[in-house]
Amino acid sequence: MVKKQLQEKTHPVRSDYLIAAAICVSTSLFACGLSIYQDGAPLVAPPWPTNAILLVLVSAWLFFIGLKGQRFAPTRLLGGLPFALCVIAHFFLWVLVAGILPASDGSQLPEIVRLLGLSHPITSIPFNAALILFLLNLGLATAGRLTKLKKARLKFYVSHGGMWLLIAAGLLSSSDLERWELIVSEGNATAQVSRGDGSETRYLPFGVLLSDFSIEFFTTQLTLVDIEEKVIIWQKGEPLIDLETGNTSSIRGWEVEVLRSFPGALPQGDGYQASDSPYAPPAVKLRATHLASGKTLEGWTTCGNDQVPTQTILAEGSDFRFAMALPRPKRFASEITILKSGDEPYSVTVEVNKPIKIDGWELNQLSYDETAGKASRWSVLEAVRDPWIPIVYTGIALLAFGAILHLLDRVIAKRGEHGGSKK
Amino acid sequence: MNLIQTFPFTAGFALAAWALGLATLPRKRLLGTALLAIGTLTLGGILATIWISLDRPPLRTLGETRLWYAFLLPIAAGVVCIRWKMTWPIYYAIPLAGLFLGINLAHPESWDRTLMPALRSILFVPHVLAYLLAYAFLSAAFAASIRGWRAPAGSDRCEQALEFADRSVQIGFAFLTLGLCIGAVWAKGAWGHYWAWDPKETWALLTWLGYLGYLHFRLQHPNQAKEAFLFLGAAWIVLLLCWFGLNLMPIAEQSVHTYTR
Ligand code: HEM
Repeated sequence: MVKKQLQEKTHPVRSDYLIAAAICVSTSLFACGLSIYQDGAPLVAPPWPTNAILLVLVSAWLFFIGLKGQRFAPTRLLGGLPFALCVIAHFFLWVLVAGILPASDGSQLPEIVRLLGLSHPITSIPFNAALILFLLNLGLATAGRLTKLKKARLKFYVSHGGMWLLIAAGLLSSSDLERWELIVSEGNATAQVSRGDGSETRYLPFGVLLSDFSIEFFTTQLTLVDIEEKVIIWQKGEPLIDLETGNTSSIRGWEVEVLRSFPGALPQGDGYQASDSPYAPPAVKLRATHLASGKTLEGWTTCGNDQVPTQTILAEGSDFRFAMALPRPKRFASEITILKSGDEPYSVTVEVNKPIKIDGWELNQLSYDETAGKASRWSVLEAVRDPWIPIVYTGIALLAFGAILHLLDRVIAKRGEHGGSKK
Repeated sequence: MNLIQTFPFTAGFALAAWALGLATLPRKRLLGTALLAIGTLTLGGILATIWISLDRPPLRTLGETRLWYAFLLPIAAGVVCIRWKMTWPIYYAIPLAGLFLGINLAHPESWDRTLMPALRSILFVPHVLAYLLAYAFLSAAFAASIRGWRAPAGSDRCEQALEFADRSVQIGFAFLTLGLCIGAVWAKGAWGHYWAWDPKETWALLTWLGYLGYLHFRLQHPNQAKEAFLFLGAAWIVLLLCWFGLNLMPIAEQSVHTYTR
């Protein structure tokens, strides 16, 4: 028995590697050829319900092979470890390509890159061929253990099965995933959504009325710009000074004190006056003292906006100006009312990280009128529909559960024990 | 804010405690351990101070992640040492943690309070912590691979290092997987989709695939220690590229995750 195992280990393994490598290389070559023949066209998953049927058929086939096919050397090879190592390496290389090539419309890339579909690596034929090989091995490995159900193998099924489900569903569902932008201005309602690039539009089964868009900013910070006010010359590692009344801090040999700070202010005379207007940018009065020379200067600075010009303070004798960095948003949210025929209108708030769900659609807060900032009168939402989410999430949950099982197993195992390994 | 300004001193103190601890450990176990613990706890205190002063989890910038790593690596190594009764991992973990802390001392932070809305999620901390724990364990595995590589093949030392490496990778890989899963769920809420092939995500996947390869390589080749050590070195390079190198690549400009501003 041991001898037989040993023989199996040494001899056919080398040929397993050779065959596996040959399969990977020829798959890649074939996929590249196909891609060139198709003029770099992406690989698109079939739409609903074909993709679901395909998933069921493939699962059934794997199940059958798992139960009946283990006697055949090819299924053992395709579901075995040497093949796993080859497909992992093979897929790794294609992901590496995707991780190195900058995404673009392909115009600056050599023609061959475009022909291989690599201006959009993720949907390219070669990349997906590698992923499908990966899935094949993973599926066969999982299915191949079906006849040897054992409690100790739970973590094997959970991680491999979860991974398989996750990738298979993610891959097949890409054709059913819909992402649209919804732009709505305060006081108005719309059901129209469009592609990010405006190429297509459609209507949602409900309307969205924007009651209020609100945004909160962090306290603004001091920055340094060059004399011509063209570039920010503040460097990472220099202090970030919050422009809050009373704050003092030193930067580049100057001590800076914030005398007054208004979250919103409008110019008046040679100073600024606090204002509640949404068009009022923040403004602060600073006193700066040059530590070496003792020279002191005072002045106002504002980052400005469409209505109010930017103002900076020249640090006399130094080669920069004190300026106010653009305020950074802390939180932004849209208060919207959902209008659906036959239903009472109802109000909800959509915020980044807090999407809402309506009728199979998910609304995410995406953006706003960034040039207007606080005064933004419109909000950009994203409407996403992905009917496969429950399946994908099941896959993710299984994978995570498998990871936890492996973790527990590892921490509980004693020294010298090789939990799960074939040693 | 002012407490943060003491960083160079507190960090310097932690480094000194570690150095003294390492020096005393071989002769006076208890004292050495106490010094190492003091150094590590100091880092924990620094992190807490930063968290409180900035009013946000200090897990946003590259420097902040290095600080956590310097804090978690000694803990990860300590857990392994106590659990499996060894001491040598500490001699690798502490210098590596010290190196990362040293990088932070050489490149002072700007201690930015702001945290973009997408990062304001309850999944932010678990996601980044899972990754940092993974990085800590996977670095421990890397350290073991160096030790193992230098030892004669088949020696006890080599075997021990391999065993330690395997164990660390298994733990680290589990955290890597958890980080990936949490990240996917978070991305769905923040950006509308669970996987966008953003450069950072792509590199995180490459790292994951690297260690996935290692785990299966070990299953298939339980006796090829030297190759396993080489594998670990290569996988660690991918990890570092994902963590730090990405910011240097042209593709980084398209990433929403690079920790720079
Ligand atoms: C999700 C993370 C994964 C973990 C934690 C994991 C872990 C493991 C473990 C512990 C085993 C040994 C099982 C045992 O002997 O009881 C194993 C076997 C195996 N794994 Fe994975 N694996 C993962 C993903 C994958 C992937 C993505 C593939 C393929 C692309 C794969 C292919 C295989 C194969 C082919 C076997 C051997 C099955 C057999 O010999 O019957 N695994 N894996």
